[in-house]
Amino acid sequence: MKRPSIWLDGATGTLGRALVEFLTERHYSLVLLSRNASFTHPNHPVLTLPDLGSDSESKFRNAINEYGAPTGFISASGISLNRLACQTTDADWNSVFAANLFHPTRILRWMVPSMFAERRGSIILISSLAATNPRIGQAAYAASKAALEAYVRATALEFAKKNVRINAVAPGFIDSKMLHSLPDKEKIQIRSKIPLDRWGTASEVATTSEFLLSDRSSYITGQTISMNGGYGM
Amino acid sequence: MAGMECSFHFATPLLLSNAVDKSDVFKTVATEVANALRVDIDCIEPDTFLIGDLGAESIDLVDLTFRIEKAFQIRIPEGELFEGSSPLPENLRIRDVVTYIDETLSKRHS
Repeated sequence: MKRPSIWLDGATGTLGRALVEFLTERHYSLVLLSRNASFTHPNHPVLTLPDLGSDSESKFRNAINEYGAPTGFISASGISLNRLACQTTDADWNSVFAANLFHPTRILRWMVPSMFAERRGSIILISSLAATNPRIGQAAYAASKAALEAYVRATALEFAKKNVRINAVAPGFIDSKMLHSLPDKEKIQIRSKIPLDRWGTASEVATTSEFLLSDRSSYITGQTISMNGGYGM
Repeated sequence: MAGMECSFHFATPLLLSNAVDKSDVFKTVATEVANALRVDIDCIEPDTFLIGDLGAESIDLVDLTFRIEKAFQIRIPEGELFEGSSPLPENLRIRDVVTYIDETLSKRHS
């Protein structure tokens, strides 16, 4: 049986690395997408899309011809911004929305027709707890992730006819460099609001993502799966 | 669905002797339309309306664009065949798609 072909954007972050490791161990065939032209991977082909202009679209089409239609796609790329709303400039808003919303939606515009033709596909967009429970300084980031979740619901309606599912995974506080960069006082405060009383792990997010990619979740679409240890209940 | 009766009647008399329905391009288009829309290929004739007769929706036209591009190794610029073109998608017949492909292919070969 042909191995599922998963295309993953954002392989270099904490979550992206965990996804690559988890899916490789489970014998998925991976194609890694990167905006960094110098990014390479020892085990998987890399498709570099530095500017996402028309050249990128043509490269993308060629890659679909070469590797075949993806059976799944995970968008784990994005940027965060810690800035008060009243200090967030137009440039800040543009860069956050470009990375967190326009980038994955553009990739999907190029990708989904190939999934439609196969009448199968599962798409996962990594959102964030911030979409529903933002902290101070997360206005642009939270808005971009909330928009991403709305996009998931809207496109689930469109893609369903072609048996293509799309869901979001919204991790809470994941054990990562970014988390540990927070001041201790803030970490203690956050931790006190997590009923499971621990940080999440990237491998837990990978496990859930793999479930959503697989046919075991074949009746799930248009949803946001929150993974936050019960934060905010 | 092969052999099933078509669930619609053609709005205009069919021109069965027209060259379009004999061409390889037509046969490939009919196959791709049948697969994209999950309709009986026998229901597809040159004068079949994609939307009015076959019930194609916008998402089907996206699907069909990809399939046609792949089948004929051509690139259909956004909005050229199924959106904003003349005839409008509501009036688009299979023969219009075949004509578009014929023209595109002949431009490529000239």
